Amino acid sequence: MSWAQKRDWVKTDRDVYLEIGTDLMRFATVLVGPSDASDLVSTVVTRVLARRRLTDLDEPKRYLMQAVANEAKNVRRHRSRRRSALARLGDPGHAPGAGEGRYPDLTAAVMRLPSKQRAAIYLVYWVGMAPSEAATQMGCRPATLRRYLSLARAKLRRFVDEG
Amino acid sequence: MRDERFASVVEEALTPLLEGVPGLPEWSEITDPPVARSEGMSGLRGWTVAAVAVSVVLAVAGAMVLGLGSFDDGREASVPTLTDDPNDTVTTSEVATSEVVGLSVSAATVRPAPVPEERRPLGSGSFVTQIDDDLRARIASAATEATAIWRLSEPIRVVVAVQRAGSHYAFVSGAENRRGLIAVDGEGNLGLLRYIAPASDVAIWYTRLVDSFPFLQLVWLDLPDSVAWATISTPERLDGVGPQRVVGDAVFIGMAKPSWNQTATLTAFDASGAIVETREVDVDGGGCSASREIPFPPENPDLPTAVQETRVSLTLASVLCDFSGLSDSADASSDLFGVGVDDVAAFLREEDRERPVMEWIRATLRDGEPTRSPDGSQFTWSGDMLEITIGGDGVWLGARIVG
Repeated sequence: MSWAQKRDWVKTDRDVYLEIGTDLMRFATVLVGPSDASDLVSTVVTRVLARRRLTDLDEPKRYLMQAVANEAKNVRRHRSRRRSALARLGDPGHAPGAGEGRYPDLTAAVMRLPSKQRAAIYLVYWVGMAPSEAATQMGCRPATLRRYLSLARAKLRRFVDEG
Repeated sequence: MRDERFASVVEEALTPLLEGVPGLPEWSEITDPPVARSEGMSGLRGWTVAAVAVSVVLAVAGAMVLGLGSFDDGREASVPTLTDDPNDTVTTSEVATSEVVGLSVSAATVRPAPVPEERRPLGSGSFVTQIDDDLRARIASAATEATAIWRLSEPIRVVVAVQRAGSHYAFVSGAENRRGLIAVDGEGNLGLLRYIAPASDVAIWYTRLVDSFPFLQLVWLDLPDSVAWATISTPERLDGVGPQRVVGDAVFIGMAKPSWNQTATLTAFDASGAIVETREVDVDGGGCSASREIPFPPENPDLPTAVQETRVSLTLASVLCDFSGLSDSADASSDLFGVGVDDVAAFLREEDRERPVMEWIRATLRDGEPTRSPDGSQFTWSGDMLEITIGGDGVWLGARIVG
């Protein structure tokens, strides 16, 4: 095998990033909304790269998605502070996703869910993971994940009943 | 059980959101984030950023440094002043003494008053010795025991160190011998070092390693007299560790981890805390895929000395990310990689950005018996990724892809 062939065969950090990036962006968008998703993913990947290669991770997708979920809490916290500040200045603000899309109320209701509940319904009902798999992905116990799903379902019951 | 009705609601809710997923940030934005550059570099004559060194520090110490030295927000706020320390005295010339493997190493130097251990960012409290033949001999002697090397892990900077001792390669660096490095002992205390600039007053920083913890150090030389300490900040705020005090006319500024190829802001203060100068420098972390690895290949008495020395040399160079050093060991007439490489150093540097070639070199040479050609003129190590051949005369003949 030539050097050129081999080098093409060896996966690089960039390869890993491109391979899982779309999934990360989707997950990040669900967690923090489209306006902060890029920053969230950039922050997480940069932070990980400062410590290790993506190619060294056993399960880079799972690792990075967990990191995205963890970092999302900070994004939401900062945004909450920002909204509070804007509110004091008279800016009404709005929940991410509110007023967007064909189902603005529903989308806004989902975006108001706590991020773990939102992550849970995304992984199970959108990505199609089994609850146990989603639990592993989120780094929690299956029972905990089922609780997240149950709470989310309760909060969205109105839409389920209407549907 | 999956609730299809609820699934449908979730799908309806997320569809508009996921239809608006922004594009993935470019890889180049991740690996080379844009950094605002300030103006005013021209006013910094007399400041020299001597080099960047990557070494490995004790994990506990690293955590301590992070906790104490990191800037939460802004620079001055968390910078202790000299007067915070009751032991702080005016820095004067004195004869510094340090116990190194039972030897008292004395040299004319300038040494700051000791900073309490708990407040000491890595690097502070070091001192510079003037090397002389006597010191060189004593250090060489000290290196004959692994524990001696360990004790050299005290924050001591020397201009020249040791070569080889017993089954260990303790090392040396100097303007005339850029290859520098390392020592190992039986308890896992491994000192990993990196030379600084070959043309400069070479600095060697001995550290010990319990767990990998990359550490970056900037050195400024020729500071104005009024500078008392300096700090560093990077786009990733937590990288900054400071402040660092002036030792002689230089200051060593530690960073908890290498920020590869970023721009760092360096700020120098006088004793009152007033900023004397600031500047921005491009920080080339200098790392590569092998830089966190321990280099030593085992002794092999069956190998010709020249072959073993080249093996060690290549291994050390890979860990030091010394692309030029690897190039120097190569046979200029051979097609080392089989792809028509003219500039071996540039090729390796470029390749290693994409894939861990330096680590392949290190790993290939680390273990295992080489295959000896019938006439004994070539020795080839076969690793998972590479096949590396060293001539019987110690010339690096080739690195080929396995397969």
